Amino acid sequence: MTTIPPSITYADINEVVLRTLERPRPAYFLLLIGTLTGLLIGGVSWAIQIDVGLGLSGINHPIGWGVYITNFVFWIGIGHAGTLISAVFFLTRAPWRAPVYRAAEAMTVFAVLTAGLFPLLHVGRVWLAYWLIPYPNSRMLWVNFKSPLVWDVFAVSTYLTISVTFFVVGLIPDLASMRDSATGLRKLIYKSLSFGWNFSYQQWLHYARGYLLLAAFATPLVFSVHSIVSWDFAMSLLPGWHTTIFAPYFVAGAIFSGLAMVLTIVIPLRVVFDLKHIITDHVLQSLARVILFTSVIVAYAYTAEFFIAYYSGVDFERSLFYFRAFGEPGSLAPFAEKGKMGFAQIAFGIMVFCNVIAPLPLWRWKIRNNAVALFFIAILINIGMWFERFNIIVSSLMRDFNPANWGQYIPQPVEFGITFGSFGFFFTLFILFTRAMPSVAIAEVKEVLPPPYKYPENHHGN
Amino acid sequence: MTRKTFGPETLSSAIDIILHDNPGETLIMTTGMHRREFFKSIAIGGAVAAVAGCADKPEKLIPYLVPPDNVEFAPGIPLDYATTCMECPANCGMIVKTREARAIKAEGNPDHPLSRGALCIRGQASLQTHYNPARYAKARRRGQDGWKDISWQDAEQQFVAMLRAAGKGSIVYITGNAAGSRAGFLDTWLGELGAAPKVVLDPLGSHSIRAANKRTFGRAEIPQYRIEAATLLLNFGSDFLETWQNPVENAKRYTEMHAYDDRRKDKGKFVHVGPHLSLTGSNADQWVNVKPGSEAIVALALAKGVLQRRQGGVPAADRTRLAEYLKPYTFARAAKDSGADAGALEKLAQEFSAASPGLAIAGGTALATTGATETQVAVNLLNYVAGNIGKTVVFGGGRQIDPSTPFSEIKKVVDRMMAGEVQLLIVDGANPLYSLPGIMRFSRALERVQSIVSLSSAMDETTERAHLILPGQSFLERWGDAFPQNGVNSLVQPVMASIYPELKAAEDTLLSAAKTLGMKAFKGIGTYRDYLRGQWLAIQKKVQPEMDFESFWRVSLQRGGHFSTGGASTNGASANGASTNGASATVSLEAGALTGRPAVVQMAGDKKGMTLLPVPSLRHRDGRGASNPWLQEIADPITNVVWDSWADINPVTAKKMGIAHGDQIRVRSDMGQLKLAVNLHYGVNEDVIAIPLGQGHTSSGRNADLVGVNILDLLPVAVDEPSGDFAYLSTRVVVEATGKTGYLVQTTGSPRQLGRGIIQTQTLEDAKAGKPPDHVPGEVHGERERDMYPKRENQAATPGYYDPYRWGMTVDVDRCTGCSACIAACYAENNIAVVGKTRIGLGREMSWITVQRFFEGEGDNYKTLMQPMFCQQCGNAGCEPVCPVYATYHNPEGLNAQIYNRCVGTRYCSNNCVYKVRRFNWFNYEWDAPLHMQLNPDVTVRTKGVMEKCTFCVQRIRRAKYAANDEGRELHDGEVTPACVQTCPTNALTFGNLSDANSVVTKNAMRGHGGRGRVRQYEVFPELRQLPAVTYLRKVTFEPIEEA
Repeated sequence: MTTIPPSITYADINEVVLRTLERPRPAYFLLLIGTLTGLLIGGVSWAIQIDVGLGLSGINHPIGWGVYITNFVFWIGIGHAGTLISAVFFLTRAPWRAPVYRAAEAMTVFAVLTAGLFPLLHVGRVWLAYWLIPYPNSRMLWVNFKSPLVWDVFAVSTYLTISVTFFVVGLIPDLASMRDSATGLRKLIYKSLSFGWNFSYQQWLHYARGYLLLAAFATPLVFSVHSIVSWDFAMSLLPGWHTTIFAPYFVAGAIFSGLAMVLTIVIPLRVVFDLKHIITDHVLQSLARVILFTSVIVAYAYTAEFFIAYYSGVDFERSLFYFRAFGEPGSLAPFAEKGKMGFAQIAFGIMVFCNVIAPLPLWRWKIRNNAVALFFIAILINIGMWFERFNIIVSSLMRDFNPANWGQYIPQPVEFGITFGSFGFFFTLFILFTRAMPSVAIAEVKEVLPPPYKYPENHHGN
Repeated sequence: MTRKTFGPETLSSAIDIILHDNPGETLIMTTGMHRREFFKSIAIGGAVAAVAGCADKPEKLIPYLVPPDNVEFAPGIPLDYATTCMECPANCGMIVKTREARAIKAEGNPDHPLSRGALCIRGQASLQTHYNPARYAKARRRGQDGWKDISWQDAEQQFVAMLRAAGKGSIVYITGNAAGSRAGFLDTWLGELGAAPKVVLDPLGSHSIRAANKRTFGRAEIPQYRIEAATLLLNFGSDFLETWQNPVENAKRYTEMHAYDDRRKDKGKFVHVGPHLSLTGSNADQWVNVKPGSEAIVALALAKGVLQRRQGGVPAADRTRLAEYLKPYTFARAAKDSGADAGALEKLAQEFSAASPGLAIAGGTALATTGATETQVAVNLLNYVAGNIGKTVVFGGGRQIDPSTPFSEIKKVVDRMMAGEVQLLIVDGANPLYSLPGIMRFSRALERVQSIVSLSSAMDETTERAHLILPGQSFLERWGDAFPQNGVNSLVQPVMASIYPELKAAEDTLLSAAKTLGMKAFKGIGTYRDYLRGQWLAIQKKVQPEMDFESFWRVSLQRGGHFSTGGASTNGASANGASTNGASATVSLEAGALTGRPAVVQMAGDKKGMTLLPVPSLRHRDGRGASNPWLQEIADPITNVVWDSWADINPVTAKKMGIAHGDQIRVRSDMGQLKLAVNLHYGVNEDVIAIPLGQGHTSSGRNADLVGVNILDLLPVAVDEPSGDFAYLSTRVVVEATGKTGYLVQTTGSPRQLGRGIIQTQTLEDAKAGKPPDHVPGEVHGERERDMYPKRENQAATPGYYDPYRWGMTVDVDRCTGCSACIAACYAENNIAVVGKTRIGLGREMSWITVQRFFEGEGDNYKTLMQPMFCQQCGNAGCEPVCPVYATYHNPEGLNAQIYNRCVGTRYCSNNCVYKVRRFNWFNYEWDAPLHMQLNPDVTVRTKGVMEKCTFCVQRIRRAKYAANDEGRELHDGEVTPACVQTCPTNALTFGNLSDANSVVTKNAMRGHGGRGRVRQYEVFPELRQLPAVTYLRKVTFEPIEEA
């Protein structure tokens, strides 16, 4: 089944997609200035933090990780959708992926790049962060392979490598198309990036094989990366972190948030570039279905966590989960008010509302086909998933084993600044990408079109 | 490594050898002096100047480059000096460790018979008084346009001019320190000028004890309280573990009585009678909650009960008199007056009469009312009828624990100042403007004095008002002595050169003036050291006439003084170890004892309000420790409040008033009003609001100013007439909520441990029966040994580990009183940064060791549990595997070592630490000059972005191991002592080698027995299988404590 109206021809696609690469309107530059400002705010915040120290943030004892690690997991999660769409849905032959996969892949690469900043951002001595990489040195110092943080270094860098490779390989035919119509410096760039592609049958044959192989390579990574990220937490002893459900829970959450981010990006993209007939409602609604499915998994994970905490009978777990949802326990009266809510409980409320309740309207076909509604739900899911990570990381650290050590956490301006900056970083890259590369895969969209017959009316609707 | 205690005299004798034996060779280079000898003489000259602080002072404090080789001194080798702590009138023995001629650490002097090797939190922190940034560097004169630094000669000339100008009898000298020979010295000096004797200011005076003893037994003295000999301690209000008399000595004696003894299988009981539980009361096994001012009635009712129950012990004649006198004091009346339960009092009387012997002491808030003497008399009678006099209350010991002038006398002095009769006021280490109640208008009195001279070394409110400041020196820079008790002659000697070489000790300033004025009494006495030697010549004649003086002097300096009783060892001191010499006087009941008719002391002020109870502070005492950053930073052990004053209010009262924990309130008396935050506390009478003394300074330097409130501003001038003591518990106040939330910073995350078994208790019966509790939270049954990895204890499987050392500690929770001296010791030893109130409020305190406090139960029967928590050096640590760069690792001796240079700062180790005992450097912390001079050169000062933690003072372990290695042997048990263990006054901490089956720590932890034989031993969170190297020993209680 194709998703694109059959009235669209190959030529239309070339025209429509390549039009996005023409000289941009002033609005584009305004947008770019906006995202660059965000990036600047983040950069300045980071510089100040390096100068003054991490004390500028709200992180403290015992809450050793806060907004930064939340952002790290959030962006890694966002980075899951691209590979899922380009590799997993490629292997499962989901044809609706074609119009959005390029944008999703770009999003993945940029999201992983953004995520990669946060481990650097949150360490106390960023100038020594390269010590986390095993490299031969005269002092014979080595990294600790038992540490999940070292696993992270490998998992994320592997994922970034594969994502970039996948992205670049997928771009080759399209870049060749652009090379053919470009002039001057652009031609030179596109020429070098298209690696001598000449659309020959031979090349297509190898290309298709190679792409399939890469997809097969990339597929396990979709599951491994976020599993390993989840083990940063699950491998520790902390109540609320130390749980076996984390790997599948985090992967489902990552797909959930990643696809929501795809919607967040693609819906404005198709308006701005007038791509509605290529990125059709059907594409959006297919994405919405997967989102709905992962939302159910996530909701299950939330419930299971609470159930297991109760069922285990372990006091540490029980009191943490009580606190996470309902605030201070009554046993601390009169020193603390029962049910007193703080930032952690608000985060929990936002998480449940955005990730469990907000996606419920997607059960309705009408909502799934309504781009505006989808856009808002996607935004809510993005917010909800950020707070899910925040909730897991922060509230667990707030209430650990020894009550004498319990603490509070209130994020500080520098953390907001850096978070804002990370969005600036991501969107700057993405906006530049939309003008430099075709954000819809020309060749693959053509693949899913009916071939141009002489009498197209004979082939209506398959 | 053995401790070497040098007096500076040892060094000067080295000089004698060089200077006097071969003067030509050393002093004049042209006579062919060798280059090395030249350096030697320079270095030793510097050493003497640096250490003894004599006439030729070095320009700057420069560490020696070339050590003299005939004294055991070398860079990097610490040099210890014995001296005496002058932070409070208790005068404990102290050993100051110096490195490169800078004092870096204070420890207790094991030879000192009272403190026996321990120091309290204030003694540990005295180094910061010495390096106080608020100290004056130069003499100052107030001119038209503010303060101006002037030369010392000018200042002395002006001082003499002022002395000459002041008429006879118009000079007043107020000091905060009159220990030892100093008292006589000052009085002689003042006598030469025709002035009245010095005024010694201490708001926490003990004259009521003297007055009451005079009245009861005809002896105006403070007796020795042999707490260790009692089986039941009945404490009326005194904070004997905090500030009362000698808290270190008290703690030692108390522990001998109260701590569960595994061999004796018994412990004494401690009952606290009073309206408020501070640290001391929180340690009590039973709390008799009484209204403030009703203690005398309770004591008399108990005395009556004891008299009825106890046969003999009291002469028959006394018995009749007493029975007659005590008749009206029934339990019913006492219950009505005090609010306590009559049945409980009766039971207490029963227990007290059965105790063999018991001991009743009174102090603190019980002796802070206008009925203080009456109360002490009542308590004396209680002791008398119980037959405790001569057994646990011993007269004739010559206690000089409180040299203060009675408040009533001070009042007269202030009146004289008001009347303009005082022309010259000299203040010296006293701060009357702060320490006297605001209503006395001392500020106005100061205006009527022509000239004010301050000899205080650091800024304070009174000195700020002076016309001329000749800053004195800290007690680590000057000479002095103290005689806290007969047979305890303690010396104060300079342990380093003055930080500000231009300054002189107050005594030397006075002597210099004496010389100019030609005072006869000081003829031929150049320095205070000479004067002191004169005084000690007399002591030597008395105590060791067979010895020549020079040897006596040198030995005394090395030991920290002359002590007639042998120093008791710090470990396992028995009842005999405590000094008892000279205390043997027999006393009998005087006729005056039964003349008083005590009633409940009436409080001034609004009847509708609450009684205001000012509480002496563990950390700041009466306010003299307020400018000390460590003391502000280390949390109060009961409330866990830092850098602040707080108001303890009972939750029941608070509920009635609609006040929640942390709310801001306004406290109003007839004298003024203050705003501060509320701390809900079960341990306070419902009718009482308790606020600590010692805060609310306005010009005592950056660390003290505007921290908390000065509660003295609310107090009326009230005096206990018979003794002249200041009655600071004398008024009622109106308490109102302001509707705002206060800014109260507490270091604890939760007031309760929620049944998690962090601090465990055990009943006395169970402990005696050797029976562990039935249910221990988190206890793992069976399957303990199942493990994929070989155990590190298995030295065949894991060669290199735990052989020959595995360092471990035991913490006897039953001995821990929560005094927090260990925390101060750790700050000093390990260069721990002070971060301030705001940052602690955000959870950024840096303390490696904390005293954790949990409450169990509610109402008057609640219990406070406290125990130190620090890195448990786990054998299966959570921190180690998660560090990506191996900055923390398990060292072969079982320490969770932390390599600061390698740390990247991911904080994963802290997140995964079960005990959360790691601290992260959120910033680069700074030490205000000259506080940085205290830093221990053996320990890295950490920079921002690095995780830090306790390593059982690994620098001390290393040093001891090197020394042992030089001698080709292994370490002996007890050879290494971490700072916290060293200073613990109650020996709650034991450190040693767990791989050594015979070490004390192994025996305490009972390791290597496969868990058999463990009775009180437990590890925190055993189910998490961190295999900590720290074993706790359960607190032993008389009643089972229900965990909330």
